[in-house]
Amino acid sequence: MHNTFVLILVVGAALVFDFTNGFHDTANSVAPTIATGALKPRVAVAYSAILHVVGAFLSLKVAATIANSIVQQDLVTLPIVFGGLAGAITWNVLTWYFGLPSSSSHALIGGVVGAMLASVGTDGVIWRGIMAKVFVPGIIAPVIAIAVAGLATLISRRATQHLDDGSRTLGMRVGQIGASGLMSIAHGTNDAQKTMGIITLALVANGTLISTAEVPATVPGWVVLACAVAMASGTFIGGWRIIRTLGHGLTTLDSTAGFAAQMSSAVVILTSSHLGLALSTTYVSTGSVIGTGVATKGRKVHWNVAGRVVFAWLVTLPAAGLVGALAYAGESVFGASGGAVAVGLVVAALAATIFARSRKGKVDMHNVNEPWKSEVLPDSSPSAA
Amino acid sequence: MASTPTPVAPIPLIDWTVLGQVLAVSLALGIGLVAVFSLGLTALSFARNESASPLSRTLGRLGVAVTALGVATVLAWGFYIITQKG
Repeated sequence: MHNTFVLILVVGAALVFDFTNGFHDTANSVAPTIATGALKPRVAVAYSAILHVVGAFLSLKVAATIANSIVQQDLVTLPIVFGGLAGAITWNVLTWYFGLPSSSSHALIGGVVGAMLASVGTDGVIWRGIMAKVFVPGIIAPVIAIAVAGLATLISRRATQHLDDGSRTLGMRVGQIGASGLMSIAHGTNDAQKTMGIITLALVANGTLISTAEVPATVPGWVVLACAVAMASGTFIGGWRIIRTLGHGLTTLDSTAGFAAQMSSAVVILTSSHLGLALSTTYVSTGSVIGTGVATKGRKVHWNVAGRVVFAWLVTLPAAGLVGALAYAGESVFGASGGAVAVGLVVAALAATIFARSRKGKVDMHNVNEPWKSEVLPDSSPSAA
Repeated sequence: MASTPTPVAPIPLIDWTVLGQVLAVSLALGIGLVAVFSLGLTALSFARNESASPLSRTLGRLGVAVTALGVATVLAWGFYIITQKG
């Protein structure tokens, strides 16, 4: 089916999702680096953004399937993709507002599943795939990260106990910058490719690109460039609310804990990816930070904040799915083109409202490192209690 | 748009072998790397300590070299994995 207008909307929505993915997941790479003062906030996000661009160009083996093994691939259409993106964008913006680190990939899966349910019903969804690729890794990821980061923190503290504070802090900060770079490149490669895959699939579905079993479609250069720029821009904007939660809200990080958390996250993500068990970057990063808090004597983990984060993880799939289903229903009522425009306007209005509200209680590079009280908003924020 | 779903191969809920490998490799590499880096910092302090004995300073330099090699190897491994996976 050729519908260039809907194709343009899908490509636009995919790039907006990529942008939200960038600012939502910046925290995974840089939150401990900023929290411990290894890099200044603006320098940290700029460094991460540049390495996201590098990562996006490093590998072009695109996972050209959306929610592979989650939904029936041959039933995926442009309106379903658009509905899925609408759900994911909405959930990313909402969780950013509340400063909650949640998985952008799971939000996209939820959105696509919701749109698929609204389109063809339960036959279009592979429920066992959801269990195997979302729920089980969702439980495994933080547990492994807590174990690795916790033990790494214990050993690192023991190994450097005789060093003076200045040497230890300086050395660990250098290590943090290296680990943060590795995380940024890995995230740039992984997540930018997902959007490249979505756009490539949309181009194939629309007949703009030809893809056969013998000669699969290659990703056009402009798609690679656009995805890299969108994600890097989002990263550079900096999701300061989530950076603050991950850097200060879960526990207090010093440079030793920060290095242990970031290096553990990088190793777990790269190892799991290499062995074929893809784990969420967000879940691993959050688990690593909690692990350092658990392993440090006299340092408490804010379990109420951790509980809110886990709650967000649990409702990501159904919430994004609900928006995805509503978006698809809207497209069905108003037609593919009109519906996509209407849904796009509703999502844009919602995002603008949330952004306007966020300006009243601002978290930015200037106050991101203020001491954590009980909420993501620091004391200096105008609307903080 | 196709009208009927195609049958899919059964998906294992948990691949215990892969899970075990991920846990073992992550623990070994994650803890090992952080430990080596931390020991490297301690070695660096020995190497730079003017009042330490020549043997301590030499051992310190050796420790720094081993640490640098270890970190470089892991970084190279990381880049390899990033560029190899799809």
